[in-house]
Amino acid sequence: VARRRAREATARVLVLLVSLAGGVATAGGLEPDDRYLRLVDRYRSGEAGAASELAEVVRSGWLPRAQCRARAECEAAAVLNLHAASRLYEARVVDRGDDLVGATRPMVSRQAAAFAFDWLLAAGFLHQGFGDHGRGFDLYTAGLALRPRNASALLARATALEFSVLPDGFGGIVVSDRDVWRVLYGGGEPPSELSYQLANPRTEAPYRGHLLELVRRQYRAVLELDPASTEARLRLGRVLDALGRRGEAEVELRAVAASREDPLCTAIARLCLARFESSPDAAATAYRSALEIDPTLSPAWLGLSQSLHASGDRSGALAALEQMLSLGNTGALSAWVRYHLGRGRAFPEALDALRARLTPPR
Amino acid sequence: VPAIPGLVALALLAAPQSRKPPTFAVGVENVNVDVLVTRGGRTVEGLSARDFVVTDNGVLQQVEVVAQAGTAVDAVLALDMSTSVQGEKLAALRRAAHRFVDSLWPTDSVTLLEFASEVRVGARPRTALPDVHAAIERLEGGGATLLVDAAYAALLLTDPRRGRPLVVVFSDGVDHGSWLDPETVLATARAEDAVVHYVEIEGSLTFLSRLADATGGRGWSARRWEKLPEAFVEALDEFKSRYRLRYEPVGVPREGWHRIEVRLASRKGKVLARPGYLVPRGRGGP
Repeated sequence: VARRRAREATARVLVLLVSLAGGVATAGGLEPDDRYLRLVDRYRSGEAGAASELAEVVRSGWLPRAQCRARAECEAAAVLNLHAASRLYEARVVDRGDDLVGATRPMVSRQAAAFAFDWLLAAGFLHQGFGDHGRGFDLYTAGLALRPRNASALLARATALEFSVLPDGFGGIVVSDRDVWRVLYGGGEPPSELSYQLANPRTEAPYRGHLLELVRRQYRAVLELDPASTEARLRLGRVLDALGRRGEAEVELRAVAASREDPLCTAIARLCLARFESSPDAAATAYRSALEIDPTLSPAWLGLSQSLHASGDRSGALAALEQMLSLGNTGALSAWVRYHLGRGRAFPEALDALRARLTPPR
Repeated sequence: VPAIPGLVALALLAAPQSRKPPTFAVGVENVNVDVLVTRGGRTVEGLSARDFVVTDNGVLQQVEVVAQAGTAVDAVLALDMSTSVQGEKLAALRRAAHRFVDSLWPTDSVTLLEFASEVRVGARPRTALPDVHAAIERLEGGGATLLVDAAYAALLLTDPRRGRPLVVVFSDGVDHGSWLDPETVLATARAEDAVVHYVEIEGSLTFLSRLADATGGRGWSARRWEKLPEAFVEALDEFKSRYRLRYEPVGVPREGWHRIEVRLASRKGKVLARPGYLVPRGRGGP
């Protein structure tokens, strides 16, 4: 009960955490008038002043646009609303951000599948980027209904599920038990006693085990579609480790640790591999190799500290601990937090791609 | 370099290393043990070294009482600031922390450690008391519970050069998301000098209970939030009433686990002390 309570009680923490760190994107909202049309033009052309004007639009309380007629107009409104929602999250106006994305979804569903898919994915990234894996999961699932074998959507949905079984330490909002049940058992409603079963560690464990195995299969499916997906390989390695399949986990993690394609994934893989080392000295070396890539990786400083302590180097251990403690003062969003935001880090790029394809709504 | 209980850190500084001497060099390294003696639930005072019998891995040791009341304490107060600590609970926790700080003597020092989704230092030792109180007022609940990571940090932030090391951990929940493994932190505790006391609200804090056991510490169950201040002060007062015994280990190999047994020579009373200490293997001889 305490564990479940801890998860529930810590909901929305990541919203604050990410907000404090400057967020993942910027911009505004709109009204169906000339100012809106001018704004869209400037916005899609990437004009610097447009972003700050959009921010002002959000702050001044303009109502977002939920009605549209022509395709171009609808797409522009949908993209601007998404951008505006991100701005609201950064301002910690979470409910309004949620409402804005929710109000835009019906509008998007009436557009062409290609646009709708990209928008749903971007919206999922946005929610995950602020720690809401539950809403992210919902949007990815809607995207997968349009493109069932899309590797990006499969990866994103698996990351959302991952945090329902692997504790993130930040209190992100996990996928609801009802949705997890549906994925696990192919639909239907969970039994009424599910909440009681999940409140009991003895009955919860097998359920979580099933879920972990499901997530493993999903990452494997992503790799079949896209063998070069470093992130899927990293996350597969972590899930295998959680399943107790250390040998297989090590193979996957070592492959990622040696790659240079995605520095965040490489750093996290090295961090995880440090735990496999049998001696404190080897673990310290592994932690240092992770920190070489990303010195904001707080668990690596902590692990390095503990390894040094186990080796008898207390002053070194204290110095590494102080490094970790100093990270809290930088205000930067650490690699460890970004990892636990699932595919949230993909939001800025996805938004840029949506913006680039907008046509003038006249 | 702080003692781990006394001997490890000093031994680590020793160079060059040699594998031959199987026992400690007398006069080089000390082991410190904080001992609580009670009878009928009350602290027994006025004991001297002759009243204690201490064995290290079964070998009788010559001890001295180096301190009891009046010796400076180096305290780390580690507070769980997870999301569940809000409103009245937060106010009660702040009151408890204020009481704890007010109960310290001028020679004592305190480190304020807060943990939720991160582990942070709110106030360092030697910080002026008004600033420590101000740091307590700035405490805000929000986040997960990196209890195990915080316990490790608290252990390392103690420094016997400042006083007898004490860690007091408050938590109202279970760990959620720590990187460090509880077993490794327990091993750290066995190699450190600090006594860990804990104060909890809603029971079954297995890790904290084991941590306290490993260091000779105890737990207080406040049951209600408004009782927190009393529990915090009791934890501090109990520690201050302990005897600090010291001995230079003889007749035992330096490395590995040292089982300590402390009992009273002739008097009646209940003795609480750490069950032993760990000197990591592979560190060479003195």
